[in-house]
Amino acid sequence: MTLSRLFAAVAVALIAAPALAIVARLAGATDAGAVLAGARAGELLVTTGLLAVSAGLVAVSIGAVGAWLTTRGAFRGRALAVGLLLSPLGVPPYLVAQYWIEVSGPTGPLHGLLGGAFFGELWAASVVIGLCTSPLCFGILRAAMARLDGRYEDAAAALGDGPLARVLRVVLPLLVPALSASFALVALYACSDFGAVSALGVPTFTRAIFFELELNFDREAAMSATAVLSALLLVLAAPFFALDRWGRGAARFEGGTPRPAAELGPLGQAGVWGVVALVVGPTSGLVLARTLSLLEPGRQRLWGKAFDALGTTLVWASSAATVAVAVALLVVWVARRRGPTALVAAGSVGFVLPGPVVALGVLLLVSATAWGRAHLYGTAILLVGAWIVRALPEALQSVDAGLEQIPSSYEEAARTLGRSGVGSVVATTLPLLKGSLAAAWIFVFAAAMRELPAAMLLKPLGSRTLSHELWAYAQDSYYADMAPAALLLLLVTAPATSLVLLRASRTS
Amino acid sequence: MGACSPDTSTDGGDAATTRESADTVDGGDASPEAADAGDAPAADSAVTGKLVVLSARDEKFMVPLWDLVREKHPQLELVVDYGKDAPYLDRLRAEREAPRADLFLSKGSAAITSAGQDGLLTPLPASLLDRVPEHVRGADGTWVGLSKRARIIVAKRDLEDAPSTLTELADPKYKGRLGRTVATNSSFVGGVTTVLADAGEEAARTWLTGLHANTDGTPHIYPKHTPTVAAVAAGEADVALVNHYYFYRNVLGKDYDPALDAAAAQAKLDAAPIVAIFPKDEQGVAWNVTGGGVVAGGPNPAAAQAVLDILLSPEGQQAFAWTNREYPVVDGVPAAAGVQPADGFTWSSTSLGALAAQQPKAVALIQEVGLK
Amino acid sequence: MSLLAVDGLTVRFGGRAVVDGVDLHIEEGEVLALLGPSGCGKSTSLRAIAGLQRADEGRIVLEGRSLSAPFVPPERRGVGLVFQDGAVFPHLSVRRNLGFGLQGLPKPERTQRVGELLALLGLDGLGDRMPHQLSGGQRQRVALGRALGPRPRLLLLDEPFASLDAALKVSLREDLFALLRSLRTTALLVTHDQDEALEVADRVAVMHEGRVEQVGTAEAILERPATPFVAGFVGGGALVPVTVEGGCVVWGSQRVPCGRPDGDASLVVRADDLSVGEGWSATATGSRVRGARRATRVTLDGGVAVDVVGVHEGAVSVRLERVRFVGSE
Repeated sequence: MTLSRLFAAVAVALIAAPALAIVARLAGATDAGAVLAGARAGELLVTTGLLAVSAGLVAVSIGAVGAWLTTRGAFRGRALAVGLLLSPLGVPPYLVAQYWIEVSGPTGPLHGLLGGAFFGELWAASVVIGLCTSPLCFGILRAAMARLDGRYEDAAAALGDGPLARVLRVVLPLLVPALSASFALVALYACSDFGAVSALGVPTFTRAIFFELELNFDREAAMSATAVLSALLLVLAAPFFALDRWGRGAARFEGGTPRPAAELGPLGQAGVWGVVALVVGPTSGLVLARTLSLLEPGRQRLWGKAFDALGTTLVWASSAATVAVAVALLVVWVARRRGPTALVAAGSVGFVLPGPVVALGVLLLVSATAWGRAHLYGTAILLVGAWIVRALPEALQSVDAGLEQIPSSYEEAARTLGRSGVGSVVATTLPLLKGSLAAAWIFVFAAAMRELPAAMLLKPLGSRTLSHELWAYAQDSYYADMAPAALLLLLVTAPATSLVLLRASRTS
Repeated sequence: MGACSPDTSTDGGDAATTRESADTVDGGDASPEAADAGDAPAADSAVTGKLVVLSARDEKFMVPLWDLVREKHPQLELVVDYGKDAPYLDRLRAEREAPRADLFLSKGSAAITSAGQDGLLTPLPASLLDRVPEHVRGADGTWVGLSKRARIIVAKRDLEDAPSTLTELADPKYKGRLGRTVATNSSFVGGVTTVLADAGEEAARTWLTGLHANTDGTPHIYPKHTPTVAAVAAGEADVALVNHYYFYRNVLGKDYDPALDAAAAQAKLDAAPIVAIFPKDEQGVAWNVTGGGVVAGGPNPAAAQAVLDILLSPEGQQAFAWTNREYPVVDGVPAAAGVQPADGFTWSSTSLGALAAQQPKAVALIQEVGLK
Repeated sequence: MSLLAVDGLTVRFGGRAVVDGVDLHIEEGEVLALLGPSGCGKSTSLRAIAGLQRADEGRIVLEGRSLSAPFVPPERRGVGLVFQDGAVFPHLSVRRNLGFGLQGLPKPERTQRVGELLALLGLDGLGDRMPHQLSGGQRQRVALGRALGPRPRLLLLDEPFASLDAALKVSLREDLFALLRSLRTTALLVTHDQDEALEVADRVAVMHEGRVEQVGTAEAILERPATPFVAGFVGGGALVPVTVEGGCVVWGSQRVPCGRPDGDASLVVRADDLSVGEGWSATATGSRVRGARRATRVTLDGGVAVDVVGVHEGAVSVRLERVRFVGSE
C-alpha cells in the first residue's frame, strides 16, 4: 500500500517542516541579529540550565517521597492522597505563577508577609515548575517502585543491611533509570516553559525568543536572533533528552513480587499528608481557592467574553486533537506495519520544541511562499498546526503502545475475508485501538486548551484563546477579571488531564 | 474564525461615551474634503461594509471609540484584532499583495513609521493630515498621530528627595526604591529611544546603567504599568517611571467618568497617596503617539478613512483621548479634566522620524546593559 | 487442470530468496501439506498464495485465473486463510466473527449460513459468546468456520494447531480434517509437524531452504525419500552410506538384494528396519526412548550411528531387514 506510505511521509514532512524552517534560517543567520543573540546566550544558558536542573530536583524529590509513601505505606485515604498528588498537573503552571504574584502583590492577602518575594527569583520559578510537574515523576516512580522485586531488599537485610542502608544500596540503584527519566522529563519541560517564567520575570530562552518576536521591529534580525536562540536551547535540552531516552530504555526490571505495603504509623501518616499539603497547597489548592474567591457577582459582560473565548478555543483545540490523532494513527500504522519505523521518531520532533519556537518555525514557513502569505497568514490554521506539532509526540506514543498489542493477523484475516486494505483496518484494528486513540485525543485537546505562547504569537485575526484572555488580564493585574476565564479553563482542562494521568498510571 | 465584536469592555462596566462638542474647535464634524486624495468619502455619509482593524493598543483603551464609530456608522461591521506592533508589521508585510486589514493603529510611532517607509500604508488626504501638527504625523503623509502620551515620574506624596528629572532616577539614592515595567515593555523602550535620540548614546548608557543598578534584583519590576503605579500607591516603591495616563487612571478611576469635573478631579488628586512629576530635563518630556494609517490595498479604505476622520474630530478625540486620559493631538481640544494641561510643561522636540531611526539601537542598548 | 497451480514462486527478503522457485499443484478436493522446518519458506509461500505477500517471480493460477499478473489483492482472491493464532476478532462475538466474510449476502441468508457454520463446527450455543470466553480449541474452530463461511475455493491453513497442547491438537486435527473432507474442501496445510502432515494430507510437499525437495504421498515420502534432507527430516532414521555390489547392498557381512546398479548409495535406516543378528557389527552407546518404545543407539563399525529396537549393551551385530534408498537412480 504505497499510497498510505506516501500520506504518512507527507504528514511527517509537514510536522517536521517548522523545525526545518528554523534550521534553514539558521544557515543564513550571519547578520547582526545572530550576533545579538550570541551576546545574550551566556546568561540565558546559565539561567535556563539552572532552572531545568533545580526544577527537576524539586519534582523528583517530591515525586520520590510521595511514591515511596504511597507504595510502601498503607493508610486510610491512600487513593485520595494519590489523586491529590496527581492534581497539580491539571493546573497550568502559568496560572500558578500568576497567583503566586497575586497573593504576594499589593492586592493580595499575603502582601505583608510575602510582598515582592517572588518576582525575578529563579528559585520561585523552580519551585512552581517543580511542583506542577511533580505528578509526572510521582507517576513514573510509583510504577517503578510497584515493579521492584522485594526479594532484593530481603537479601540485603539477610546480609546485614539496616533499613536505610537497604534503601541506599539496593532500592535507589534499581530506581536510577526511573529517577533519571523523570528528572529529564521535568528538565525538558522547564526548558520549554514560557508562562511561569514570564509571570515570575525570570529570563530564559523561551522568554527571550518570545519577546524578540513581539518587540523587534527589524523583523529580519528578529527571525535570525530567534533562530539562533532556538538552536542554543536545543543544544541545552539535548543531554536531558538523551537522559530521558536512556532512562526509559533501561527501566526494564520487570517481574518479581513487590514488597507488601506496611501500615503507616501516626508519624508516617503525618508525613504523607504533609507532603500532600506541600504539593497541593501552593499549586492546585491555591489556584482553586483564589479563583473562587476572586469571582465577583454580576459581571455578565466579563463572563460573556470568557465564554466566547472558551467556545473559540474549544473548536480550535478539538480540531487540533482530531487531526493529531488521525495523523498519529496513520504514521504509527505505516511505521509499524509497513515501515520505516523512523517515521515515528521524525513525527516526534515537536517534543523538544517549546511553544515560541514552534510558532517561529510556523511563521518562517508560512512567510516563505506567496500562497502561504495570502491564504494562511493570520488564520487559525497556523495555531492549530503549531499545537499539533507540539502535541503529536505524546499522541504517537499512546497510539504506538496500543498498536503494539494488536497483531497484524487481524487485518490480514479481514483481508482474506473480503475487506479492502483500509476496510480491514477500520473493521479490526480501529475498534481495538479505541482506548489509545481516545487517550491521545484527550491529551492533545487538554494541551491545546491550556497552551499559551504559540496562542499569543500566532493569534488569528479577531479572536483569542481562553489562555490568552486569562493572561492579558493577569499581566494588567486585573485578577478579578481573570477569575472567570481561569475557572472555565480549569473546568475543561483539569478533568481531561486527570483522565489521561489515570489511564497512564494504570497501564504503566 | 469568529469575529470579535468589541462590544464588551474589559472591566465589565460601561464606558460612557462623551457627546459634548468642544466649543472652540473648527468644524466639529468636519468631513474630509475629497480634494487631494480623491478617494475620501462624501460628507456625513455613513460607511458600510466590513472594517478590519489591527490595534496595537489594548482593548481597554479602544472601547469608547468603537462605541462612537458604531453610532456614526451603524451599518459598518467592525472586526478588531488586538495585538502588538512588531507582529503586526510582520502581518502587513506578509499580506502585502492581498491585505485583509484596513486600518492599522499602532502603539508607538516607530512601528507605524516603519510601516509607512515600507510602503504598506496609503498616503492620507490633506484633509486628515492638516488636522494635526506636523510633528505628530508621518513625514511621508502615510499616518497621523491620534493621541499623545508623556513619560513621567510617579512618586509617593511628600517624598523628601522626590526626583525632578529622568536623569535623577539613575542616582544611587533610589536603589531599591525605584519601580518600573519590564524592559521589554514597548513604552519603556520608547522612553529609552527618546533619551537616546535627545542626549546621545553615552548619556543613555549611563542612565540605563543607573536604572539597572537601582532595580536589578529588587521586586519592583512589573509586567505592565498598571501594577507599577499600584505598587507606588501601596508604598512598595517610592518612585516609578510610567506613561502619564496610568497615573490618572489610578487616581481618577480606571473608567472615565464624564461627570467628574475639574474640582472633583482636583479633590481626588489631592487625596491620592501619589503625585505625578512631569520631568524637567533639559530636552523636555519624552513622549510618543498612537499612530493611525490606512493599509495600502486594503478592502475598505473608505471605512478606514472614516474612522480616522472620527478619531481626529473633537468628538473622537474626546472619546479616545479623554477616556484614556491621554493628550489629544488636534489643536484646541484640551486634555480631560484633572489631567495636567499640555502647555503646562515642555515637550521634547525630537522628531518622530529620528525616534524611529534610533529604536533598534535602543533595544540593543537595553540588552547590552542587561535590563530585565 | 489443477485447482491451484504455482510455478516458479520466488520471494526475496533483502536480496535473499526465502522462497526459491517453488512449484505446487493442488487438485480439487485434495489436501496438500507443505512440510518443513522453521524458516524454510513455507509460511511465506502460503502468504504469497493468499496475496498477503508479493512474489518477486512466479505464477499463481487459481482455477485458471491468474492471481499474480496482474497482482490480485487478497480480498479478491476467494482464498480462505486460517492463521496460526486463529486471529479471531476479540471485539466481535462468535456469530459476528463467523459472519464477517459474508458481507455481500442479504441478512436472512447470512444468518442462515452462520447457523450452519455453528452447527458444522460444533459451536452450537456459543454464538453470542465473546472470544475471550472460549477455550483455545473452540477459538480455532471459530477461525476455521470463519474462513469457510464464504465458501472459498481454496483453504490455506498456517500451522493452525501449533498453539494447542498435544492431546487437544490430535483430537481437533482429526475432527477438523474429517470435516474438510466431508465438505470436499481443497486445502493447503503448512506445518512443521510431520505426524500432522502424514496423517492428514493426501500429498505432502517437503520444503527446505526455500525449495520443494519432494512432493508425493506419505508412502512415497517415507519409503522413497528423494533427497538426504527429506530422508532425515521425515520418519526419523539415520543416513547410512553403503556400497552396492553385484545387485546387493553390502551391510557388514550381510548381503541384501536390491534392484540397484552397483556403486555408492545412501540408505535411510529406521529402528524398525534393523534387528539383532548376523550383519554389521556395532557398539551400543546408550539407550533412548523413541515414541513409546525403548531403542538403543549403536555405532556401526566405520562410523554412522543408528537406532535399534530393544535394549542392548556392548558389542552388537545389526541385521538389515529393509532397504530404503535415498534418491532415485
